Amino acid sequence: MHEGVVLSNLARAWSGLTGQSCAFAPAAEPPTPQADDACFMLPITDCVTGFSSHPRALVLLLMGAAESQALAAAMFGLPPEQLSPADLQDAGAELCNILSASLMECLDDASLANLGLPQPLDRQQWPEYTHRGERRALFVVSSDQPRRLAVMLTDIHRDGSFCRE
Amino acid sequence: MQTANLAPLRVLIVDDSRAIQAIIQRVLQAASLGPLQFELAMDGEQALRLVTSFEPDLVISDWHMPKVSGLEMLQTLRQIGRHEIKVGFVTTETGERHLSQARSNGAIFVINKPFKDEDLLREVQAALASCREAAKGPAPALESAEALNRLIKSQMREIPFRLIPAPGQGLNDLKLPHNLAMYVAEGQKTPHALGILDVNACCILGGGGAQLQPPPVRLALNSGVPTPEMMTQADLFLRSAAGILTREPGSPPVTLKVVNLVAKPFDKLRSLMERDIGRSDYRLSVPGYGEGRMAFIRL
Repeated sequence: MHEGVVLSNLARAWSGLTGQSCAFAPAAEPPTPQADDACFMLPITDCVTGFSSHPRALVLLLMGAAESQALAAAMFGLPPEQLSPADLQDAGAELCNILSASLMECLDDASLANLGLPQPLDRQQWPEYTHRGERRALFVVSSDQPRRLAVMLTDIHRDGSFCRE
Repeated sequence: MQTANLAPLRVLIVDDSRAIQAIIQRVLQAASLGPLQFELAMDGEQALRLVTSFEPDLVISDWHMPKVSGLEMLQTLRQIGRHEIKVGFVTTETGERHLSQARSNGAIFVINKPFKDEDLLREVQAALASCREAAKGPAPALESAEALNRLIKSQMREIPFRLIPAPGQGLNDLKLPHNLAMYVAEGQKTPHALGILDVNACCILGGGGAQLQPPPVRLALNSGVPTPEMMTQADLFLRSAAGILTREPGSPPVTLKVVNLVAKPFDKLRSLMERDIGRSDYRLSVPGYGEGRMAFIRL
């Protein structure tokens, strides 16, 4: 894994979508979700199974309310007051999708990996999901910046508890 | 860009994110791409349903979507024979094994998310230019009517004539026998084009080339039998026509390879005419002589 490349790609993804700069840095522990945070997850499968119900890894994204608003406003080209909750969710899911493509670099061998579809994650489930499996990468916005963003990749290859219906 | 008289091109944006749909639409609307119509679909299944009603010129699609993926949508389009619809991808997919599948199914571009506006615009501009070119139909087999007019004038000299475009004429409209010429580009084995003079055109161009008075030409027309002198002149005309056949810039010169008098129409010639990848069809009318027909077919 080339951490520098991944960090640069994450920053490029955020600035490409919002027009705002944002530097990411590695972190030791995932943040504790706040009441208005939005969370998303995206399964990564491999083509050995190819079934979304058998993910190999998960990408998890946590985003503060202000970041959700800024992202959706930029993507939809609308002022924040005109955005619906569905708009915020749509934009957040797409950010999760785009960040996931960068984080796939952190897998040992991504040559057979397939990105699944992003979906909202209940905030209550964030602690459980972030502490299962083997954490392969965790990046948060640098501490010198006011933004609230965290993205992580957890390898759940041998963990059947993440199987979805 | 000059937009007057341009029919709007139809762009179908397929992405399960409404936010990405909005970005793509905004980028294209802000650019001077000529008149555009948009339709949106949330997945490949919905896109395939819209293809029949919306008839898109260009589909800009995501890859990973519920129900039917972007690749599956592209493959289905090709399987149902919709080869003319251009498809490009805007996706997070970077796997070479996937992207090569897209290219082998005719995807015209793959742009990774997040993308720069100028990258998307560059690809879409190229795709739309190609769509507008295709909408004009194939290039004619001859450079221009003026070039043909000059060539006939050099053959007929002072004899007045009228050249009338006859688009869509069929093989049956050309009176038998036909003088059929095959043209080949230098260094190529496959034919470049065919030229057909019907028997009347052979008599007229042959009689004009020999500077004959009207009676012997009318006699040949009525009997359907041109004289050897007329056929020599008709062959010379077909040989000269090689110089006014349409060809790509910088491509090798085209010459007459063979010319034959064909007594009966044959199916292959009919199907080549109907395929129409470039044709020039004319009637040639000469006062006192009569009227004949000619066709040039790009292969």
